[in-house]
Amino acid sequence: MPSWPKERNVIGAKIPRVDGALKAAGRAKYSYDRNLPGLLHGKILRSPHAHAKIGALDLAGAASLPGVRSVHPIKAVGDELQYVGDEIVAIAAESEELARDAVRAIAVEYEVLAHIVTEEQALAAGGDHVKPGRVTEKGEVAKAFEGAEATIEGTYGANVVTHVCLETHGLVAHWIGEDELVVYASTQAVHSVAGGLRRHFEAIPNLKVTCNTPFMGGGFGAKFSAGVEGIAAAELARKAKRPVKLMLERDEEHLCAGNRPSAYAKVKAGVDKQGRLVAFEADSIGTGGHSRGANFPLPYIYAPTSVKRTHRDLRTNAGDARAMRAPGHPQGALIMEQVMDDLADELGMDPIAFRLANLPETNNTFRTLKPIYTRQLGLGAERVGWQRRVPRGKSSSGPIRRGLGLGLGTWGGRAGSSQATCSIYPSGQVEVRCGTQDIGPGTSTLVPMVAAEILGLDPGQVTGLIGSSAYPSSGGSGGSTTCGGVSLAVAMSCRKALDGLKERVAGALGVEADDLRARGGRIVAASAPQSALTWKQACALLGLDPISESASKNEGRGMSSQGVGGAQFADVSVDTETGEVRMNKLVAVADCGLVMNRLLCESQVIGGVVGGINYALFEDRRMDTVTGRQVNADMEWYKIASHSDLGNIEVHLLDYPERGTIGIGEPPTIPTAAAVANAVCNAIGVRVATLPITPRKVLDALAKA
Amino acid sequence: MKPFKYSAATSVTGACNMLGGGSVALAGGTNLLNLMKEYVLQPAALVDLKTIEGASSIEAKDGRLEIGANVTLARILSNKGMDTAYPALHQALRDAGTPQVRNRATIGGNLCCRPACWYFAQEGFDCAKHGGTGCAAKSGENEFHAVFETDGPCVMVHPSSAAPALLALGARIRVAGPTGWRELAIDDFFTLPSAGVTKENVLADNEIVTHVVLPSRAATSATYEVRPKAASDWAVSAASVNLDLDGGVCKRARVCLGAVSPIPRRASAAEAVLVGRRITPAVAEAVGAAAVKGAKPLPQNAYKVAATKTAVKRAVLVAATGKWQ
Repeated sequence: MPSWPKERNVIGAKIPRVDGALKAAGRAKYSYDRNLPGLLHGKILRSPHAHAKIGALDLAGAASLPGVRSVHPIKAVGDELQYVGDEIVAIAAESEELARDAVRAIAVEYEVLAHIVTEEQALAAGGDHVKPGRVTEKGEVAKAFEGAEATIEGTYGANVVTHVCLETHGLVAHWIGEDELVVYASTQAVHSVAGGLRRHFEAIPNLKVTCNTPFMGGGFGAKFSAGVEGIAAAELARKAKRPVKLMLERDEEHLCAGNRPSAYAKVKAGVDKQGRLVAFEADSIGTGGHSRGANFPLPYIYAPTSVKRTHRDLRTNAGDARAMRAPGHPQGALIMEQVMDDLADELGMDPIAFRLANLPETNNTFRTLKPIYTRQLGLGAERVGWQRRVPRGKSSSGPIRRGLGLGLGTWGGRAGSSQATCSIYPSGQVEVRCGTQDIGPGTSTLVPMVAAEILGLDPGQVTGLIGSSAYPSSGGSGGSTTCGGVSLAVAMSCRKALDGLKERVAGALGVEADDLRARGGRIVAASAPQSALTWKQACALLGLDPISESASKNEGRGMSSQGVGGAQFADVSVDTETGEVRMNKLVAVADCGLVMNRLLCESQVIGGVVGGINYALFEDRRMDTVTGRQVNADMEWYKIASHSDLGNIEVHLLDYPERGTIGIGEPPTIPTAAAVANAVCNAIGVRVATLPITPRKVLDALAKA
Repeated sequence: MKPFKYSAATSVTGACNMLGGGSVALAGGTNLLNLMKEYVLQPAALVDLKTIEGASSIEAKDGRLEIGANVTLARILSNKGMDTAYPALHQALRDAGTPQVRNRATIGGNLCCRPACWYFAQEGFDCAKHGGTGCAAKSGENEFHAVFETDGPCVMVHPSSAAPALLALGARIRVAGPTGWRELAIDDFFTLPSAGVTKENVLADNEIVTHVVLPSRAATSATYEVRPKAASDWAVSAASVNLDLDGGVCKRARVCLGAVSPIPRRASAAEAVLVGRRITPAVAEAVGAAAVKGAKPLPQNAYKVAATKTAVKRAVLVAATGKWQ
């Protein structure tokens, strides 16, 4: 079975992003920045109503406006519109402003229908707004509660939040002739976008489609396909015979480009005399918009001996949910970890000790987590100063109360599908092609690093070519599967290419190929170190024929695994007279097996924590019940942390190189909000039932207490 | 966007002659341009005031400080001695908007900003300011709206960060029109929705603010804001106080509230509590309680009453002692 080199020169080092300077200087060309000659701008007419039927639609007036070059109807008369922002017609015009004016000039008659936009409205309406719950049962809960030593009951939850990608969804579509389409898309999956467009235009014979995404401004799970807007851009460009840019505006991003469903649960939980979780009953609801579910794992991490769980999905006239960084897990962790703290406090037990007493020795998926959590809890407690923690509500006197809290999370992070090709040229140059994409974690940096490790070179000597569907197929960047998949495919393609080079060198040096090692920019015979060629000399032996070898991540079986645990500790100050919550510190202890690039891995963890702090304190999709519209589809009232809101974020990466590569994309955002919520409760002595924990909710909770 | 005419004014009179009849004044543009991009306001013409000479400096005159309307918030903050002479204003502007906004927004524009209301700022909601019949916020999402004057036709909060501080400091506003200029107390500048729901101040369509005039430094002042976020966020409550202390005893006081009413609000009852008293935590507490008398919060914003009480209490303590705890 293949394995990573025991001695590693590049992997594990702190290596800055290869494109960091470009990005910092604003020179990196994102999809948004692609201004092709003759470019038109696309805009979409969207439903102003939360629920309506299209009674009449007249495009003629808008189509004849100055500057309008093509029109692409998305819905037809009689179609139902399910939420504010539902797409109706797309238009391409000479400027963004003209396109905006043109979609406003489209004459639509709406037959306005009743709408439901909140969980309360959906529950009250019933019918097809409430999808009957599936009941999960294990053991006899009622009996277990009877015998329980202590029981708590509580309501916990979080509102819908959106992805708020800094670069909005969309693409630039460019047709070359009749049968070649090149798009520059803001996507997490270049191959899926190309595939979706290929399917959409399958009537065109011998169609060639390429999706390019050299740089990408955030996806978090919401950008796996071309989307309605991407298809529209390609249609508009085809009709106008000119390239079209259609990137969503900020309000569209909130309304139509995905979100994390809401999650609210009534929970009753009981423990026995030894503090073991014996009974767990939860009834949860959530809305994932008009057609998506909102379920999430609960109980989470721990395995109560008896469980009764019901969940109902609520259908609302709002934009659909999409995968959002660790789908379901932040909600599960938020609720479960608050329950755990409430139980520990009820028992008068230290929350860490209580968790250790309840962590399963094994669980169905990942057998290794208890020792990892144990290590993480110890380290995190030490770094956050857990010994300072005072019991709930017993924080110092005075209006500003300080509190500590913790949360745990878990994720898979297996290696996703990936293929790569390594080319070694007679000039000594090396190119590695992989049809993955860098959505922020630093995949552009990872590819040359892994290649350099295998080939005994510096990363700067390898050209990584990613971010295009013209390169070998690699999976979408989701589920924390990219780092594993790409690392394995790149490593194995480089090994194969290196084997080819070694054969040439072996002949020239008169040694066995097996005896050759690539290190320090040389090919050296292990048995006779004086027999060596520089990399350049070795490559020159190739004559006119470069080596090009491809590999799939499957060939690297054994070099990656899955199943990570993470523990986070929050230190907050809450002003009990104003309700303001301020982060002092957040300690994140993370695990991802073999750390590939310590600097970028830490950066990933920080990014996840920032998302978690936003979830905990600020983000809040607010729906106006009268109109069914979101009132804060912007970045003014849809609040996102500034640097000064984050406090000190301290990251500790545990090393488990023997476990191979594991993804770290989602895990660090899972436990953050739970840790913050527990810290707030520890500080002020009362639970703020739902996220975000705002001044209003803090003051209201204190007033009620 | 509706095409509009752009004119750069070179003089105050010139600007006023161009204003009115669909022409509106453009200062830093941090508010107006957003509303135009949202199709909320679609003026036929913009008259740029930034190009007017003589309104872009801060000058000490006759013991008063005259701040030209074109002076940016960042420039006021960096003006030497502002933090010690007029701490209430300095503290109010310190975290207003974002650094980019403070570099661009002018003091004149700040006073004339349109409502900080998510219903006003978008097309299609029922809003009396846009010709609607009601106020969507009253029956809708009103967590950030007014807690005073909530019986009126509009429950906006006034967005000016500077206004409560200027009100506390007893600033005067110099206003120019086509035929001349006048100066009025800032107390008389802002108007309640009940006095005309489509506007927020006394300016006629063809009038502009040219200067904000601060009295000579005489008293001790402070501003305290409550904000969900530490920066780049709107206050949910702001209190500016200006205390005239004589041997520790308060002779005169101004207590002003921001972000809780359609106009910056003087809390006269709170001022009355201060006069003749030495500032102690107990007195500050009583001032805070008096400041929120008469508050009629909306369904989602009772918390603002508590936050305001605290903001006032702390502003009083900071003004008198330099710290609140």
